[in-house]
Amino acid sequence: MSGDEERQRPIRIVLDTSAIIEFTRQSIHVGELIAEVDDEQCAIAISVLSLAEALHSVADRDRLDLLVDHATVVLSADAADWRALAATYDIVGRLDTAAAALAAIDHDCAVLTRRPSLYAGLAGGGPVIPIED
Amino acid sequence: MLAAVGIHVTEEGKARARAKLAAADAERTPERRAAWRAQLGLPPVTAA
Repeated sequence: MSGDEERQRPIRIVLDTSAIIEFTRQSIHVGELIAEVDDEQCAIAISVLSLAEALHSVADRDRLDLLVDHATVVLSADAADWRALAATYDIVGRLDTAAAALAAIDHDCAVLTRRPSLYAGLAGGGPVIPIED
Repeated sequence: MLAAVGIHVTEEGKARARAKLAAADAERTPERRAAWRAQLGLPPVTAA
């Protein structure tokens, strides 16, 4: 699938930093969701802030490159949303987490995360799909 | 791409993922979506 084709698909799920790291550690839970989203002709999205944060913790950067180049839409921060990003930051306590949450809410989808507690301050615990142990 | 990373997904696995996505969809009620947007200071979504 080309990057252009990926970008034209509706975003079905956002991977936060923890989910990106889990992917590079060959998480079957993350893989199953990526495969299912692809079958639904939809796209996975990641925030550029999550990507930059994940890079610090990822041992296998080739896998990170594969994720970016072949499976995802990379979302940059929208200047018009800076107040919403700041408000989300106040709630979740991390800028990368805030970017993931804001992207999910904006695109009406869920965040895949290993750390659902980060989103606990959002109504109902936020739009999250927890990664199982 | 998944195979290149060493993740081998089965049809059963995709069915599990489908169920998780459906459960997450069901939790995103209009009321909850409106609450999130209000919490973050985003404008309400208007019906198309």
